Amino acid sequence: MKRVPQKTVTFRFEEHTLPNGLCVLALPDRTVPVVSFQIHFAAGSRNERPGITGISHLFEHMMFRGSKELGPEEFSRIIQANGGTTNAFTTTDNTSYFENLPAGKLELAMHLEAERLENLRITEENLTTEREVVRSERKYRTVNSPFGLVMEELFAVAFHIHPYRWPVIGWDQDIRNLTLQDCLEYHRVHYAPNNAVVAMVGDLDPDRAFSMMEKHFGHIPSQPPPVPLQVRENPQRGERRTIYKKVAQTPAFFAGFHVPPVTDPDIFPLLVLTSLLCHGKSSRFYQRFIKTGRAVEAKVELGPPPFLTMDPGLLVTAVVASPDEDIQMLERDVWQEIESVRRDPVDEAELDRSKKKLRSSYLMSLQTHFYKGITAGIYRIRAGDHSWINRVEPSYLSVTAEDVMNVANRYLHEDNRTVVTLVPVSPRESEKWGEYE
Amino acid sequence: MESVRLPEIQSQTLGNGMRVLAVRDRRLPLVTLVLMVKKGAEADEEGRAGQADLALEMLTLGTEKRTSQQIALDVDSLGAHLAFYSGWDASFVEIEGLSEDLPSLVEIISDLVLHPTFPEPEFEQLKKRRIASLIQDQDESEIVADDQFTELVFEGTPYGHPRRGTVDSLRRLALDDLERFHRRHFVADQCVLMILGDIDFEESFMRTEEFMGPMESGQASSERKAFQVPHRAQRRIRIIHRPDLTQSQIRMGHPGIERTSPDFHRFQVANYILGGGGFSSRLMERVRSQKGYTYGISSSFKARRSPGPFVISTFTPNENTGAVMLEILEVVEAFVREGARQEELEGAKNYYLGSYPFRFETPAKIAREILEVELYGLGLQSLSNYPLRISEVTLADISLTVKQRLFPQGFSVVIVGNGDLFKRQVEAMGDVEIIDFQRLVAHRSEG
Repeated sequence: MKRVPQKTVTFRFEEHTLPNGLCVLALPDRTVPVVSFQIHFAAGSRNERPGITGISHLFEHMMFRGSKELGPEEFSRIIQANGGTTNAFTTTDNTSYFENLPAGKLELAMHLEAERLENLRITEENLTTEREVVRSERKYRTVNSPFGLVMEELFAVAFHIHPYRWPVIGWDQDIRNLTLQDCLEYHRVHYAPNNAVVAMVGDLDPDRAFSMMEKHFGHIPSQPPPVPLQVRENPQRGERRTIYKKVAQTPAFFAGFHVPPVTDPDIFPLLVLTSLLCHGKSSRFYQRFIKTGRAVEAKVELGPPPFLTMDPGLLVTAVVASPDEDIQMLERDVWQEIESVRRDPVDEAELDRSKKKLRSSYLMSLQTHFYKGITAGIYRIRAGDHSWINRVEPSYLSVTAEDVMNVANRYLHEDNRTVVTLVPVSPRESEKWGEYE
Repeated sequence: MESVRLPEIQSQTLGNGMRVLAVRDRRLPLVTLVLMVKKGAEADEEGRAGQADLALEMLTLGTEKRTSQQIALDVDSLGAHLAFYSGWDASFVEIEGLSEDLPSLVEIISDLVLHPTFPEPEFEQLKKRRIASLIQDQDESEIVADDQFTELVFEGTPYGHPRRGTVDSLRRLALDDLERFHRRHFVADQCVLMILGDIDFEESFMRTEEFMGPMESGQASSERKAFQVPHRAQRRIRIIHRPDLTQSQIRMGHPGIERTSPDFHRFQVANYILGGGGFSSRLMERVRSQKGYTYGISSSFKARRSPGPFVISTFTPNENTGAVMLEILEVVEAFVREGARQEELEGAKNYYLGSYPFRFETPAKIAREILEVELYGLGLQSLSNYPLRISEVTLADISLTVKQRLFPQGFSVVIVGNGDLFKRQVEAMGDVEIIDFQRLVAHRSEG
């Protein structure tokens, strides 16, 4: 086969900071007459404390409930009536709002985002409605989903100190107890221009976009920056193991290994390691566990870029057994596969394959304006520099077999591991523990 | 209205009759190849649910020159994504990779569809993992609700079985059933190949002729007759009782419209106003924004060769189930009675007109649009005519369409949840049938 030189891709975002501290990123791409406008706040569940868990996410809902100019949900209706879509998401480290819309409507998105940032209507009535909506969302995403509660258990056991120990959506009793005062305080501290990054990509002129940003956001005052989070999880000293019983057709186990944060050089070898274990049908887990029908699911997850945590996080192994499979045997064999990466160097062909899979997946993810903006914006929040968007490809390419073996030994060992085993019970048995919320 | 700048499209018909469409998009060094075969799960033979979908995966499990493992290695070495899938009306083999690898990508896709060997041991493994996956799916109350709704609405028709089959049907499927699907339907004049991305047109057509040219022309396989499912006179409610669930999944609806229906655009606009338009829709406004009963509610329709489902989907804490159903029925009945308001119509039309360019943002999205047009014989000009069709829709059209197309009194309803907490609430709304989840699971797993 003829070797064709590899094309690498560079995205040249322009960065401009307004006097009030708002960081603005812009990338023109005029192939389709649309733009993605996003505002990312450095506010996620890591900025919460016990008693108000879930407030970041609940606040995301409150942002759609009206402002001085707009009634409840009118924000979304206006964007849609102008040919756009809008939504938001909350994570451990950021809360992000976006509008994907026709290029001619960019200024509309700026106006609406600035207006709700400045004049959000935070009322008891809105809090009451959204509290119930979020409780329904929690039931939908976590309580009634096959593995949502198991994942909650995993993080709650793996972390003792750090806020990553509670779920982004929060504990139900905290959601119930959140007060209007909590919301007002949260908004004052976190929803400030100097705590945010705006990313826009598409059919736009950066200079013009920057001056429009000045016009709409320039007058919003900055705030004293939030107190930096200074919580460090103690190193794990020995395996933690627990059991979770719930209605299920098949047993499963979820395991977490503590790993370093987004900017650590070990992240890319770890990503290559996850790729050789479970990306694609030639991967070790697919061939040994999925193809043979022993497991319905067998994966190791971290990321993908830019979704790596600001503070040390967890690499999660999730294995769902087939109905007749012995979960203990399956778990033993999974650790055996990981042991082999710690013991034997990966051969070059497998290493190249894993790197190429990651590289092409990354490029495929960057096909939309939306995801280009997300990648630059989230890297700016989590790593402090948007240009990480261009470091991903070269970082993958430079990973060696030795790097992979090193990170496997450094992080994927028993003493750094937390395991939650899902033990299936029938609906009747499940009833004896009462309702879980 | 924003103009839609379609990327450059060129087409060619190979000597064997296969239609090839190429679209150039040079923004990233990527290429996507999609082979569409104009037969899907609708063509599953009686009692052989899952035949088409499994046949597609079987193509990737052995060819005359590659074992399944070699296929996996070759695909992964290119960093490519291989996908295979049977929809209702068509099946797809898709490969996406780096443009530097175009010749290898075309060669692989042609090897899979032209020279599969259907090895028996691979088939046994395939069945084993698919059955395990179907059993595990029973824990997903959304999937259970969707499958039960499909069965309730379309039972006895070509759409009345799960696309991926059932535990029972997979146990009964033989290797020969999959080979037969391939032999009958993978013929050149039933296939459309699309190549999109950072390509050179001439090279693309040359590679296609070289690798796909040997596919047999074949005869157009016999067309399945279009069918209609009559609307029910009475509402029917099926409860799947699972006492451990704290929230119920609700599906309400009936057969909708076919893709070639002259009502398609009118129905699309009407559905947006009712429940397809997110926060701009009446259902979201009432059930989420005003009542706070749910995190999400929507209505949707699938327009297939024959009328596919129209369905309203939501979920709510068990104790709200009856109240949510009443709200939904009220909203639908008011819509049928009164039609839409001018500002709702304008909002819906503006959404479809303004967001249309997003449907051409990436090669994969472009492929989806063009292949749909090819599948239903709508002609490529229908892509450029779309904004016109939408802008023509009037309030009178909406009134007529909803009166002719929506029948809340004949809804089929599926609820998966703790029936003890809402059975009484829903009994007044239709004939209720209760199935215990444990019995359902036992039935599905015994086979």
